[in-house]
Amino acid sequence: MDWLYPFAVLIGSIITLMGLGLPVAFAFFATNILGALLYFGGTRGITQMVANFNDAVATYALAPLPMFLVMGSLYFRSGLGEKVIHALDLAIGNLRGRLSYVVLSAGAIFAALSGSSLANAGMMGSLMAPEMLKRKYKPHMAYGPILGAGSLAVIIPPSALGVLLGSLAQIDVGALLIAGVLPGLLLVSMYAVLIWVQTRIDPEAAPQYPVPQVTGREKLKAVLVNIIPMGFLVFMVVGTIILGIATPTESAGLGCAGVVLLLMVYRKFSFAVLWKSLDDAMKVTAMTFLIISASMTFSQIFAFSGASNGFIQYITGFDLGPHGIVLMMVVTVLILGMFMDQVSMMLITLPLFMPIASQYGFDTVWLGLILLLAYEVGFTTPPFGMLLFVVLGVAEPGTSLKTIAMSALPYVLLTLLLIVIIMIFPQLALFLPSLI
Amino acid sequence: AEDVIEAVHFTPTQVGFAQSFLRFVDRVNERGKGVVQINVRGGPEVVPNPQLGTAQQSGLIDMMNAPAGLYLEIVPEGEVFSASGIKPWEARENGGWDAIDKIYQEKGNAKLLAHVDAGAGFWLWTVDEPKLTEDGMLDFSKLVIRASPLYKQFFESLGAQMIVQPAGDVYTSLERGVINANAYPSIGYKAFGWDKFTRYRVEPGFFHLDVLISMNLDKWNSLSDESKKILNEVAIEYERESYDAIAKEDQESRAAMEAEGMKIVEMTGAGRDKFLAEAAKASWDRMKDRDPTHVEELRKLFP
Amino acid sequence: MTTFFDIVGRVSWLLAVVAKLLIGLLILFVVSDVVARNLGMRALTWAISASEYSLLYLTFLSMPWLVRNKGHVFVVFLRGLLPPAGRALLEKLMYIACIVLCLYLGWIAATSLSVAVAKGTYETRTFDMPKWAVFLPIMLGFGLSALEWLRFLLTPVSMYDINPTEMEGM
Ligand code: NA
Ligand code: NA
Repeated sequence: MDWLYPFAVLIGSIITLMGLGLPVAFAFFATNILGALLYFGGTRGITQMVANFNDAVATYALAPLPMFLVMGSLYFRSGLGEKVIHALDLAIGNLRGRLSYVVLSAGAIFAALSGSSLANAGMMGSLMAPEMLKRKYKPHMAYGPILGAGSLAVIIPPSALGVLLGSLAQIDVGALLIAGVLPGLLLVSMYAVLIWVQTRIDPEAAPQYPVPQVTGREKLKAVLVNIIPMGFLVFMVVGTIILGIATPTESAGLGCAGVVLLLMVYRKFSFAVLWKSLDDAMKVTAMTFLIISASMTFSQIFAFSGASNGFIQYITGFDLGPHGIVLMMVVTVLILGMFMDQVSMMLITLPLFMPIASQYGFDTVWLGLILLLAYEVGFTTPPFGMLLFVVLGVAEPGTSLKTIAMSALPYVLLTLLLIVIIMIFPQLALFLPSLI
Repeated sequence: AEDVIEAVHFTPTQVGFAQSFLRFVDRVNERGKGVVQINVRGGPEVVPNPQLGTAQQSGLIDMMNAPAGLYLEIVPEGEVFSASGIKPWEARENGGWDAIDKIYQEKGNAKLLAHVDAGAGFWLWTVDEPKLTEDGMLDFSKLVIRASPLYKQFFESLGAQMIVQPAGDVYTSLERGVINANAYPSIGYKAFGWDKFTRYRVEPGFFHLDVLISMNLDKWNSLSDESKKILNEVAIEYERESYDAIAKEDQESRAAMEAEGMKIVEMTGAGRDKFLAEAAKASWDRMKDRDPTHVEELRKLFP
Repeated sequence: MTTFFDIVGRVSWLLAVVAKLLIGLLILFVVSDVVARNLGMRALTWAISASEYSLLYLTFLSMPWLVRNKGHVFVVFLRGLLPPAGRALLEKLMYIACIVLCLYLGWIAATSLSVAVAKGTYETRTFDMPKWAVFLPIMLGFGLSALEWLRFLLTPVSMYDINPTEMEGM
């Protein structure tokens, strides 16, 4: 149990400092300094941490976040977003919680075209959250679907995280990606049912507001005039990926260019709006990236100290039979996911999980998908949950992390339920891969 | 007392390069019982690749298994390992090894132990069947290749388009046609699933794997003579052994993909020679740009 | 003292303006790279590394402005358990902790920067980037953030009472 001491010190420090009200990034900084002094080469480790900031955030894979935030913010601040929502209101009519469904389905479609949860949540959050709150949706009805749809991006292919998992765990990447399709769709349906239940329990969570009765012709006109620009934007973001014009990372930039073009066509462009959008994007990005830079070193010190390996070996060391061991793996990932990013978690856990998997003779595609879902949960669990931070950044000023995390909770529980379903019915994951 | 060495490797544990390093570690630990022990702390989850060079230089880690190409900013001369086809044991004989080791000691505060896994190199993989020009060189004008700093200038000089992108994007980019070629060793290529899209491999290969096992110099100097002796012995043995092992693995990985229908396109004649000459030239030119001091000497020792 | 912190605020604001411009530049880099490539022109490979460094700069250049505007996310589950007097003390302690952290990490960044200048070290991406330029925004970000935290310590403003209007930019 050598691992228990560093484990307790590092996790204890982060939780205590955060709970006392130190900003999340600074709580990580302080814990890292403590961890470096104790386990990671002393001041040399701290110097390394500072050098680390560059590697943590100066990476192209993170570029979509600020760009999607600019895009969403431009759309919303220029007033185009409001028109689209108005058109949706006219088209959908009086379905309670309709904007929540819209977020969920738009998010799912975007998930099927992009591979980044961060980008998905950033875009849906900045596009839709302000309008929903304006229409008096309770926070959980607005943020919940955004977080849910955001985390879908890694399950529904394409998925950069899925590709990484496949290559790190030596799982057939193509099979793993395809395996995510059915569970992804099931998850979307479960989320939709959740929204329905939530509006049933508390109808005021998504208040109805009068939607003018209009003729079919007017409805059509509103949809054409307002949804078409949205369609153009969708093309700029995802059409360009499908046609091989841009990579998933680059398409965010095209989305920004697309909105600017739209605004010019609709004569709504102004430098003031553009500047405001850059301001919005700067705030969220800088806050999120500072936490990323701080938490990355935390993962390293955690691994270097032997805490993570010891912990994983301890948890998976119980002889609990095949299902028990998979559950323990999931639990391990859920606990680590509270403090670590997905890539660090994969690097740390897979070398220990995969030998166990082959010992039990698990189907690696099946296990890979279960793990992918478990890693995904980490996106929305506090205290370190990237999507929580992004959504917090686009939320109304004064919103607390707790509010956002509570909005995510039912979605997290449904994801866990899906993991159990896949454990019981492996065919859900394995049917599509078996066809190729 | 027993010497303890804290070590880090550059790939995740389950990947071949780390496994190869762990075999070296096992050998040292077995022979070094009571004298010297290597304690492996982990891979990129412990020290990310871009920081390995400085982590060893500062003594944060004692030993590392990492390609010279990862920290050329500290030791630009490390590029000789990928540019030259000379075998590690030949370099030890002709004095090249001592010369480059001296440079690593000066610039990187590092003692080189071994150039391992040297028996393989990089290949170019393409989605469409590439055409040859009249002199037998590949027609690079239609190729859009995922770039790494290592070979970006080289392919650009041959007329290809280069795109820099994260490894996670490559699968989707190949699927969607944003890139139509990829340069990578054969080992581990299938693990990324890229072989589904790139159905052609181009002969000849280019560059050589430049994976080194090295130690922080101060730590090395602090070791007992007996420990140094054991480390050196195992290093020399393992250098050769891993050369053959990776050559075999390279062979088998390519054969496995060919068995699944991958085709080979071979450059010929003058064009082939030019391709190989350009590859070497790109490396030497860059070395000269960064620090010309030792280039002439190294050129003789690493033909 | 107010004048002093006003000046600090102006500098923080200025760095945040640079950060915003960098986001705009990032978008321009990415779009021109895609356009150039699809028009069959040379892809601007340098633009990728330039984008990456923009991300580093924007993170640390806007850090002090975010401190001033309470833009760094926090939770308070243990703080909430304390009586008001305890909370007030704790608040001061948190500011001091942040000042110490910022000064210490800023100092480490400054040391790394001066070593990088002395040795002339650089990073190799699609172009060679001098290392001092990597440490520069980190040093500035932490250094100025220390002053912004000092403002919370020495003046009546509090991080924990978020006033929605304060979140708006200048
Ligand atoms: Na996806
Ligand atoms: Na989390």
